Amino acid sequence: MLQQKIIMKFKFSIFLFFLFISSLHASKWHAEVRAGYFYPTSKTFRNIYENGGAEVEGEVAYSFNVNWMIWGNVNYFQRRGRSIGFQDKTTIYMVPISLGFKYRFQFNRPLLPYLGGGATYTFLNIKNHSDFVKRNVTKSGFGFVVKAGIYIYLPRNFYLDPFIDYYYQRVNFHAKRNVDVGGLRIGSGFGYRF
Amino acid sequence: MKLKNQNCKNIFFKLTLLFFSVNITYLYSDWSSAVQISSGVSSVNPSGPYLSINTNSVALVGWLDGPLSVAQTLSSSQWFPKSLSWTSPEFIYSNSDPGVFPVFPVIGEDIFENQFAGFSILDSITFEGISINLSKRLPQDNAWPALISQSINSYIENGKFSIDCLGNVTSDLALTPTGASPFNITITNFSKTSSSWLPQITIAQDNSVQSTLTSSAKLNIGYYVWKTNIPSIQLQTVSYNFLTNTYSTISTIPIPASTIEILGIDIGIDSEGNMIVIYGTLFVGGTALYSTTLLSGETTWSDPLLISDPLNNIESGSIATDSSGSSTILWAERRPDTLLFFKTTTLPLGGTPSSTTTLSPLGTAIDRASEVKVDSFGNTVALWGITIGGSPSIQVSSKALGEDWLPTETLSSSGLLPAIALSDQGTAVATWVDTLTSYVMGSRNLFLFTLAPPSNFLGQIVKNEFLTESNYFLEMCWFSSLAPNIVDYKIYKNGNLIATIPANCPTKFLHLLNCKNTKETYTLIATASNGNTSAPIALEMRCKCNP
Repeated sequence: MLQQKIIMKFKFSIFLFFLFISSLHASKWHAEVRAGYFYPTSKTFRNIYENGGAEVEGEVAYSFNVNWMIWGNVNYFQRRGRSIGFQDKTTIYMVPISLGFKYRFQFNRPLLPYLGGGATYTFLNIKNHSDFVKRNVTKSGFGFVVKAGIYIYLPRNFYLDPFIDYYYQRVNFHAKRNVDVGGLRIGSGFGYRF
Repeated sequence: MKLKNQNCKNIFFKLTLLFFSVNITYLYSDWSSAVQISSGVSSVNPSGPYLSINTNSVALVGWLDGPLSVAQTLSSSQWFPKSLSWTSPEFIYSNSDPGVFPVFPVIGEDIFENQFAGFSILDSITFEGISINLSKRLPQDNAWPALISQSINSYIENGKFSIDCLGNVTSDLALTPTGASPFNITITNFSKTSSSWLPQITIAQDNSVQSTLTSSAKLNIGYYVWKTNIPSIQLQTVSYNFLTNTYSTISTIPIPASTIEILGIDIGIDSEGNMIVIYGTLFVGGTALYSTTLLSGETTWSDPLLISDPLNNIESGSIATDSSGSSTILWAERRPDTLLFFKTTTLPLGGTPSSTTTLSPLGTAIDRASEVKVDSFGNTVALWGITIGGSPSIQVSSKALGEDWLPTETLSSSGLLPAIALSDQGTAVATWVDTLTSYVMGSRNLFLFTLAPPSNFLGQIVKNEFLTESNYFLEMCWFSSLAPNIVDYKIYKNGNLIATIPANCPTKFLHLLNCKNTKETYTLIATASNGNTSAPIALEMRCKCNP
């Protein structure tokens, strides 16, 4: 009971916080959490890690113009898989951090489609369970992202953000091993404007 | 200058020695020189020494010590392939009663390395049988245990004991309460699951002057063949199933109509239970060796097949059958000029004999204990005694499956009563009694035959791909060698050892490839507990790997 009361209080506090923020600013900031499905471009990636899987993101955007927004995004993807051949266990952890711009089309409020793009920097860690390969591989590198979606503005400054993003992210594991660990991310965000 | 000359001399000496040693290896193969096994005074007994060899190529020999006029003891010794030595003699049976001694002994081992000694005890003064006996020695026993006996209380005229690899013992005895014919052909068995002899069964009678019988045990079945002249001379046979405790119906083996007497019988049995019987016949004008076959599951014996040369007389015969039913027969023939020699032939199951091979030089007398042994794979070794120039010689020859008989070697020029044992690991052990010392002597050929190789040595290149890197492996697999007690398998790549896989592990191996476009040869060799190795089987691979 006590726990439920604390949770209720916490939720109410957040609600009041967003309400307060919204009264101070003219909804220039967008903050959202996103969940989606990551479908890797690389066939090898898909074969090893079972065609991708769920991912979560956090994104913040600032509209400095009626149409233009600058945005930042942090993404987390983790997936277990098995090697092609002997089915040895392997796990991938991926955190792409992206920054870019969006253009909102002011067609028909409250539905505002947008297109965007940006640069991404991905941190990658792979754990391989085999004696014949390097067991722990950590890599990072630059890539880019193009994204599209629709802001669906809801009452009380809440909004939904169904999206489709495409990441291009090549990682050079060694001289003859260059893999695109990017792919399509499809999902929806739920955010708040303040 | 002087020093230089000496060096040259040394090199010449070494080269000569090398050449000489190569010649020695070729001429005398790998039969060891004779070693003394017994330590007491060995008598020249009509049916010893008795020899067996187990699946680890450990040989067991039994023999009678002491002259007939005093008490005789039955002793044993073991030969181990790892130490290449015989153990000190141990008593199986010892009796202080003069003239009472074991007869028709057999020595054997089962696959669990239990040792068996089966024999009758006879009073040599009255020729009355006292008992049939078995001593079963477990691997952990320090000495031969007390005998498991069953009384006979009958005169004993002839007998044969046999032990199968599972520990079942058969005995086939010709007994008579009166000391004269007719003889009761009596079977007594000892099952591996029982602790005492099974009830005696008199299966037939023979009213001949001399009885002829034999028995053999293989894979829970006892086989018995005997001669009877009731109502007319004929060979009869029966089998006993140790698992069901049942006898088959007695069947009659067809013999030539001209047969006056059966001289001797020997049995060969393959792994399917096909039974091949050879027997010597006496007819007007001579003797001959015949064979006949009873296929497993059938009831009709094949017609008699003449094995020996009709122009000569036969004096002994021995048969050994491999697991596929192919039999090798060794026998001696006496030519019209009275000289003798040993011959051999191979008899395929249900077929006709191949051309005969003369194994021995001409001699003036032969040893009836001469015998041939064949392993499960068809490799054959024959040991015989033949008197040449007044010297009783023990000679040996062998034949690998599909090859010719090797040149005959003489193991001793003063030997009698040869016995040979051949393991499925390719090791052969020979024993005999030395005529000069009366000691039991032995010789061995540790690697007479190469080990049965593994089969189906196959390989495929497998790519194991992670996101970070990929490797190429040669995945090799094979079927185990059929030889017993394999220790390990060794894999060589271009002649270099790359892996040793214990035999109790799965018969496969992964080898990481370096992906150079080269042809590589992998060879697989099995090693058995006696140290013998199989012939290498090869796998050639050209590795073309995509990056």
